[in-house]
Amino acid sequence: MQLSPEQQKMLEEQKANCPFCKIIAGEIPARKVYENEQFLIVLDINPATEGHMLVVPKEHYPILPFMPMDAQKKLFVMLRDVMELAQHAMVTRGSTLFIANGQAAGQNVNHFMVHVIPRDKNDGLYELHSKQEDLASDAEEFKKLGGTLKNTIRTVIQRATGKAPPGAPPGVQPQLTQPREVSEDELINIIEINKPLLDLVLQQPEAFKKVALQHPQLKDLFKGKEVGKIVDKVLEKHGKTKQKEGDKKEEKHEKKQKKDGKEDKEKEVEAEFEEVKDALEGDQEEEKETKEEGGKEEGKKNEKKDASLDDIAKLFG
Amino acid sequence: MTCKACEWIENKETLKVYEDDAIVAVLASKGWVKGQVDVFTKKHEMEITKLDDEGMVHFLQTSAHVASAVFEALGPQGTNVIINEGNILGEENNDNHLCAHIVPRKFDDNLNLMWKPKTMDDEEKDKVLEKLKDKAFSLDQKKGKKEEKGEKQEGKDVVQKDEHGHEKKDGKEGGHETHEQKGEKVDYRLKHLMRIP
Repeated sequence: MQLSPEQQKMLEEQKANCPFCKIIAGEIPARKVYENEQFLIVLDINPATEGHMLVVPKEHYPILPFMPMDAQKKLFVMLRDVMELAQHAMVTRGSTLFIANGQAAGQNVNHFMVHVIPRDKNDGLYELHSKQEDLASDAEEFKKLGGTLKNTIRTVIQRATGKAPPGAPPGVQPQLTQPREVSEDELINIIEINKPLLDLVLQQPEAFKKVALQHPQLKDLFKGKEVGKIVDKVLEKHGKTKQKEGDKKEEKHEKKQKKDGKEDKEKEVEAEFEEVKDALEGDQEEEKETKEEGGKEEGKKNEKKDASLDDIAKLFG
Repeated sequence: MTCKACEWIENKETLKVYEDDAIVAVLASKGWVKGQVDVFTKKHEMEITKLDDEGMVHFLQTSAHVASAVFEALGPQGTNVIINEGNILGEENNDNHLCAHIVPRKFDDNLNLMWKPKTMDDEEKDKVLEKLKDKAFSLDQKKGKKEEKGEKQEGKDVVQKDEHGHEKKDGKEGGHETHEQKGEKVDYRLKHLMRIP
């Protein structure tokens, strides 16, 4: 995950105050069960049951998505063995694995970790077993929710693995059920931390302005915003001057677009997008790849960064 | 013995949000909160230890992807991933098909998944630590590093570092503890027999 210099700085500050980083560094004593190069297993100081362990990556990641894929793989394999260890050593019938991403989920420390809790029948931890509340009472809403999730899961997996997951063909683009108003500064930040996007803005500002307003997903983010201004600010930051003519054109374009009917707009978007795509085809190899995946990919990236920004803000907050 | 999870997976009415050769993710119709997704292994697997490395990585990684997707699509303030593994609630309970619950969380969702801390004094905690450490070498063995002696040596070093002030106590209890552990080894096998349905 790429972070902006500011976020990097915040992360460093967070690390400096992190009790688990101190435990790992040996500055705070803890009951260590096991330790290897990448992970440390300690007993929880406030255990749910006897033998409640925390599997802690030595590197400071605020939440799981920050962790690189290969480290995640090692962690996952290890977790199975730790669950087995919990049951064997504590002589229990089973164990519970518990991950909290974010404070709302019960994460108290900004250092990502996994709880492994040895479990037995009468340990009283029934709250960890799924409630049986009826969640599908509104059948239509339930179905809609399922559709949204299905598409988002597909996109997330495709983004993470670079491969299309098996099964259902790509359906309608996932829609955020709760679109959030994003400020101009945030948008600038999003562009800054998203390398392919930043390259695009710096090298093809005009093309970006068009894409931003028309692309099915980007247009929501940039709705009602002056894309020209945002792009100019980014360009200024990187020492490039703006082109006033392009700016005016863009504004006209925006107005025109608003007048157009929905169907027309959609057709136009597609046509325009193909244009931009073609124009970009000759660009750097790297960029080509991103573009070939389609602007969809880019849009989602944006949203992902958006989400993580949100998250970071929360974690630091 | 029918398994609820297997029935759900086979039922065409079930709202599957993800499916591949090994994993099915279902939008939970019963659970904690709306938007909860339950990730199942397709095979009726009850013990996580039965999964090989690849299967385990696939199971948890898919769960992690689903968690990211839940976060992006529903805009909660956090997510929980919870796996209850093994025959925790006993044989009469038929819910032990391996499953990862992905729970979208909000500050005001009135869910309390956090446990009450068990009160344990230092001595009890040290005992637990010894029990776990005694078996922790298995974590290395799994990776093919069979250096049991070296590991145990290392383990002892850590003990000495950790328990500066408790050296005397350790000495007194040493004999007693090993005795206890032997007793538990038998117990452990018995308990494992109980886990087989």
